[in-house]
Amino acid sequence: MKNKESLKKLEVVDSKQERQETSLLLKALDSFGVSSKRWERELDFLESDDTDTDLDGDLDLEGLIDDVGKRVEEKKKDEIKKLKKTILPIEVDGNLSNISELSKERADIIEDIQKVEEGFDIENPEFSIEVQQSIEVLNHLCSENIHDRQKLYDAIYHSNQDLVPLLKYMEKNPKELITKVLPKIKNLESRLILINEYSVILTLAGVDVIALNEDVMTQAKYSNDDIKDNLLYEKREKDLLNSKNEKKKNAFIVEDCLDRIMGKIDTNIEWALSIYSASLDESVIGDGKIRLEIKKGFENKIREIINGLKDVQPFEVLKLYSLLQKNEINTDSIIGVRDLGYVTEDAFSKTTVNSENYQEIFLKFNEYSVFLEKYRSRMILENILIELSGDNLLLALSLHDREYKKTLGRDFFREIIQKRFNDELAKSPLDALKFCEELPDSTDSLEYHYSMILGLKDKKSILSLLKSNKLKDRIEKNIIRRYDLEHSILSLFVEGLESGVKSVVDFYRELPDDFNKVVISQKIVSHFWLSLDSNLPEKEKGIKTKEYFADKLDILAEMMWSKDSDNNMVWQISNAFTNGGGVVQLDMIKDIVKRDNRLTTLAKLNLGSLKMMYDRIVAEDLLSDDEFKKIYNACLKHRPQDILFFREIFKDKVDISDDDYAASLAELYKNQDEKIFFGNSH
Amino acid sequence: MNKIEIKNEILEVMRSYGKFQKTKEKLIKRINNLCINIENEKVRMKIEKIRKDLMENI
Repeated sequence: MKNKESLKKLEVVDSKQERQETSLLLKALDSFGVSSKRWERELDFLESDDTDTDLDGDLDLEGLIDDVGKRVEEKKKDEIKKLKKTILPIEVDGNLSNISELSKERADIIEDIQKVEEGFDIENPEFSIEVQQSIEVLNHLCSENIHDRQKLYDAIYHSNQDLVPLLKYMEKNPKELITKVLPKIKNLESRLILINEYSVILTLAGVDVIALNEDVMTQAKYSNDDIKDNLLYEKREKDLLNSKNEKKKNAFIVEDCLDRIMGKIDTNIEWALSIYSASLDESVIGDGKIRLEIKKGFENKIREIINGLKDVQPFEVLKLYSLLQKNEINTDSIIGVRDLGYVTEDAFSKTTVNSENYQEIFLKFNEYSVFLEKYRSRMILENILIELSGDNLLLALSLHDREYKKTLGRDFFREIIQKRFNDELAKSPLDALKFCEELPDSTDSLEYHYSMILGLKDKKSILSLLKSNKLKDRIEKNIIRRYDLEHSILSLFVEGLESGVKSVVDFYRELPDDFNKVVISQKIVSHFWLSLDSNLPEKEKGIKTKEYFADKLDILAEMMWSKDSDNNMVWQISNAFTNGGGVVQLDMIKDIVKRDNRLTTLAKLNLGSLKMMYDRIVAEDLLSDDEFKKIYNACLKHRPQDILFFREIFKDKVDISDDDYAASLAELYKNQDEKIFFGNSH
Repeated sequence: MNKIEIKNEILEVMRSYGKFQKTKEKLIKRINNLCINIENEKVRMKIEKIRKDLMENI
């Protein structure tokens, strides 16, 4: 009441001056086109004795001031635009570049227009040119790096020389930060950065903050709080805060704070959260009840946001959650740990990993997997890697190999590598080989390579690989042991024999020439007799054997007469004759004798087999005496040391005179010093 | 807020506009001088026309 009375007195004293001012004011406002009706009402109010505004009434004086402010600003803008329009074409059309003085003046005018536009008073500058330039630099830095504090710090650090005049000015006049510097910083966020990071900026710019005298720092702190206050409650709101209606005032503060926070949450969440933190600061809002309301309201709104986002953009929820935590905001009442886990799982399950986004996904995994229990986190990682293994497994393995190997274990990687290897193999064996060679060393690539090749089940694949130079190279370097490879191929042969001879024969024929075919031949022959011994009942042996070999004689013969056949081979085949039973023997003998060019190769048989075969041929009368003579000569040539036995075997069919025998012996002794093969005289 | 405060607010706005007007006039004067010093007749005429339009509009 006292205030009201004193104001009234003041108005009486100044009534004349007041009328003049009102009149001037009306004229000025009139020039801005404010409607006369409205002005009449406002005028009535101004002329009345009521000195208080009724905030709930019809009059809207604050609105009027805003309206005037806006109109004036618009007019200013319009006029600046026209000024620019005038000055800008001069260079375009006038080519002032040749007249440096005029060009400079033009540049100065443009700069001055710019400053006027930014609100600087170029007639009576508040700051020295250096400080003014510093402010412009800071303005620029803030607007360029508004969403990234770290970048801003870096930029400030690198521009510290340009900022020194301003910072020195602020050092000496910290209070001026509010009244002079801040209004020159263009937008609200930039201003807040400046306030919040005041001491950081000072430090980055090379000012020793600790060494600043205590008074200056106290003033600076005071300034900060003051500015926060200014930012949180602009002028109009401040008036409301001064109102005596406590309930209304409190509701306003809560609503206002939440509006400000939520208004920024989409575009600049860090800013919004810093406002929230500020609003919970006792030094900013002293009333505990209000702070509690703000907290409740904030949590409700965040919960709403999370509910809205979790099904469509779960990663945004996680991002928001992380930010809340970083800002030390208690999230317990916003989202439970279990729900957060579901959102995290959902986020990753909805994401498709590819070569474009895999790095981003791994980063997200590293950041957000902490929201999950260990085994779930592992499951998600497995899924990501399995998904990625389709196209970018090698990349993924090399990228995070060590870390994930530790988490997932070797078997996991072995499994997905095996799967991928099979896919490659389906394309071609060479692709599979290439894949093996590209595996990072840390994945035990050689081991995979080796075991995969040995594990090949497909004849075509193995043949392609055997013909590849890469494999030869590996065999030569002893990376892959020939013996193991051959063993693997033999296994394949055995399987092939079970399923049909034709493919086996084809395979045998397609094996590269430098491959040890003899070993394979031996294996095949052994397999024949092994099958006989183990599988055939004695009674049916003969018939079954005949059937069994009916389609295999070709290959047996092929192998027998092969240039690779050696004594071991012959020994194996001899066993076949010996063990095969009468029916088989006879069929084979018939087959052999039918082929004249193979006849002499019988000489390779061991003596037991040769005798048995001789007896069968004689009993069946399959060969003529001349043919027996041919075989005898071949035997003698092949194993002269066995001449005594040959003479005994062939005595009924081949006439061997004593002279011939003696000549043969003489020949044998003559060559005694030479290297004679005595190996196989079973 | 009482009426004196309201009036002061509005007057402050007006004062700032007045200040702006003065600055603007000085800028226009500088632009005019710049135009006068342009020797190229064709360019000068063009600028002059823009300047006249400007003076009429402001």
